[in-house]
Amino acid sequence: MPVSEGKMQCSSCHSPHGATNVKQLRVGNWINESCVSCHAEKRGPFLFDHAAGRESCVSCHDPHGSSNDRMLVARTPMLCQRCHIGTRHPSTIYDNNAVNARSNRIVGRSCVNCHQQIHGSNHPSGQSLTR
Amino acid sequence: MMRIRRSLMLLAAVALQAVPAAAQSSAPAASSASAAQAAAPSDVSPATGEIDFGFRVSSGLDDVGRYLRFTDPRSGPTIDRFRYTRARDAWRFDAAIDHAGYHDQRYAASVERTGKVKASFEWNQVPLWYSGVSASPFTETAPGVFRLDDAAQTAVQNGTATVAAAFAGTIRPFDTQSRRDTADVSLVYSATRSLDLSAGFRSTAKTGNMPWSASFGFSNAIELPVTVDNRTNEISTAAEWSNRRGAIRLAYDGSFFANAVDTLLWDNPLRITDQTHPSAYSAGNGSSQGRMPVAPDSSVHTVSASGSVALPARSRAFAYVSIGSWLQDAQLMPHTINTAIQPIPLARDSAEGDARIVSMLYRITSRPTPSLWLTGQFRMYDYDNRTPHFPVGQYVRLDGNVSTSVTGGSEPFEMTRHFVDLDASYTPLAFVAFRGGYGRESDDRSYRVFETTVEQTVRASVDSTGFSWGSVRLQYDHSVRTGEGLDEEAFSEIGEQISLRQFDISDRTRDRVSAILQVMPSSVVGINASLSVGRDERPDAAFGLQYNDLTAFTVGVDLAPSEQVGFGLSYGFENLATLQRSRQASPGIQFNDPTRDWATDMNEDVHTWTANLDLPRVTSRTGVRVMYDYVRSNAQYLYELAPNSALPVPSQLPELTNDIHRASADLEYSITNRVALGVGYRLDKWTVSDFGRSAETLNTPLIPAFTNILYQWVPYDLHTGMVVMKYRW
Repeated sequence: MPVSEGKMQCSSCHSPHGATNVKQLRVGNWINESCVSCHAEKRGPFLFDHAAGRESCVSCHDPHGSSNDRMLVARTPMLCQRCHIGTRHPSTIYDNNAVNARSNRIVGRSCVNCHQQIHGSNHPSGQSLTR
Repeated sequence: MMRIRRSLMLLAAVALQAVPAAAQSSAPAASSASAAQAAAPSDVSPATGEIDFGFRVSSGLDDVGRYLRFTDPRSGPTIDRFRYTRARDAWRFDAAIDHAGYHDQRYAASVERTGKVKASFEWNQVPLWYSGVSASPFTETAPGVFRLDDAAQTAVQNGTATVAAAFAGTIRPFDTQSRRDTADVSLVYSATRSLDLSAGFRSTAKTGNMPWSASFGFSNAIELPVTVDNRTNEISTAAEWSNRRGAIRLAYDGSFFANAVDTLLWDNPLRITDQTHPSAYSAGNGSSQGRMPVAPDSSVHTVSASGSVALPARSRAFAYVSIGSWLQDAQLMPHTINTAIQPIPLARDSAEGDARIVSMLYRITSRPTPSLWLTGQFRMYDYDNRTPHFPVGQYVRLDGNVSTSVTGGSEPFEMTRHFVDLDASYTPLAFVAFRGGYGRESDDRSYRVFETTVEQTVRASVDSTGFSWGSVRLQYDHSVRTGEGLDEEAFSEIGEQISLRQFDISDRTRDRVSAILQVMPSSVVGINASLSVGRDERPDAAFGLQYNDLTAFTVGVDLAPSEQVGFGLSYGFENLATLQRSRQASPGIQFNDPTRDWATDMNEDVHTWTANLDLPRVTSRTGVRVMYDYVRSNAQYLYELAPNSALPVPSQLPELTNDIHRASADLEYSITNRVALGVGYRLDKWTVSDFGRSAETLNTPLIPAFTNILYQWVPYDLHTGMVVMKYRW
């Protein structure tokens, strides 16, 4: 968030005098409604939703800042592997050998190198959020 | 100081004027001139303002990376701060300008006629700088259309060249950046003493480009600089009536998102003609091009009503109801653009996305005695997803080949949340309050492993504020979440371990302790400290996140021994530790083999140092300010294997580090009471070690199996010098 640049302050999202939303958020009626007021491209509702994200944006993102890209609470692929441990590539260890081989599962944006539609997809074949 | 002195003089002048007028009121009728003088409007305060203008020189702008991404630090002339205020008896006007002429510029103005109308306007630009070292073999031939050189594609398909050799000569450099421009207008009209009517309009446009992934398969991931061109228009209207006994508010809010580039179309570096085969999704060599939708147009309409009423015993009741509709009905594209695959009929032509949201809040607060506060609150949030199920029997994986859907199509997720909170605060001693509270959150949802989760929280705190020596706060929260309606079939049918528990809805025990202390042993020194310790445990999760622990503390001191010097120093530390478990397996006997279990132990530390020195009067006309911030974060992800593991020993990942240094030094010399000359220096320095985004890892756009745009983390060392003239009136 552009806080240190002076473009946002605590009061950009929170009302210190009280609000009808949780956490004294000044916009909307749930955490997600506050987030999508500025990030409307993620609002949907989509044909295929990412359920964890639809429940709450803060399952994956820390709105107060993070050392990880996109303010994620943990970096990919480890964040994704907290909920996805199916067979084959979701549950594979991506170690330093994979980094040295520049595997697209761990370098760059890792899982999102393929699962780009991580917030939801309108593609008829988008159930894996790859389209 | 000058401004205060001038205001005091003005007030004195006004008071002196009033004295003869008052004396005259009891005397025979005053002359018309005197009466006119006494009745003439006067400024509450004269027009005041300030403007800083000068010149800035910045070096080291090769790639400012992610920690300076929302600013425009280029060299050039600057109007970095303009403020103007004009106030009279019945009205006030304010204007502000920041960073005029730069990508992060801001303009704002507001006018208020006391008790009648308030109007404001703001134009605000926020740049988002991703990378200045981007490069790609793709060329955007039309918005959202990315093409490769046909000869290179042909050579790769025919096997006469590798991707790296075929496309090496087609790589072009570019910047990856976008900008958010917001225009915001608002008006509040006080129709009567009790009735306010308000209206607002905000339009936010995002333009530029951003990194976006567009893969063809495991062996062919693509990253593109996709075009961003969208706009969100928001309308807000409300009528609020209030008096000493209560208030009623009715409101409508609308939001409309439109995307000018809603489809992405891009070439496949491995193919110039279409084909399909069973492994096309893995090799990424099915379709010659890919197509996907991007951020569909959508709209939201919300009407709400709220009211409050004062009750006996210093009590107040408040109620709020909101009904909203989220709509998104974009046209659906075919399952694939691959002409080698027989078209699969669509169940319908458009998304028909439709969610109805009902939200309620009921609250009662009471203060039956001067030392007792009571609050009770009920909240409900219902996300009713009315998007029709979209049946899918067969679908196309990554435009490569046809596969059978495990879920049978879409799963329109919906949820209902209920919250009850009861809190009491008792103040037996002056400036000391003891609080206790209970909360219960019950969530019902569809298409997830737990249909219902219930979380109960107890909280207690003690606050002491108002003492001349400082304040203290201590708070403890304990909550337990349990799931009901476990649906393990939801996992088994998609090939997940049934003992996985997704951390956002799993059974969980949470404990949090926090303390804040502020002490001022004298008027010249202040000491502050804070501590937070928290632990989340998930006892029933055999797989997934097991626990996460947070420890954070800060300590700081501020000294102001005189008006000539001020000094501050603080240190903060945060540690986040988590453990998560998984099992690396292929389908079959490996799936149930515990010797294939593994875990990730994450540990992240963040250290923050801040120091500042203020010398407002080094000489009678000279002030100096020096500031330094240093933040260091380091994170380690360590892999652990089960005893007697069947897995090869992993090669541990390197540590991730970030170091941010920010320093500034400013000197201001007052030439006159209104004019000052300032010089300043800024240092912004970032060093980073990140195995996934370093220049060593992403050293070419043509990495095998990963055609990327060099979206790297690049360390920078930015030095900025400024000369500024400041004029105040």
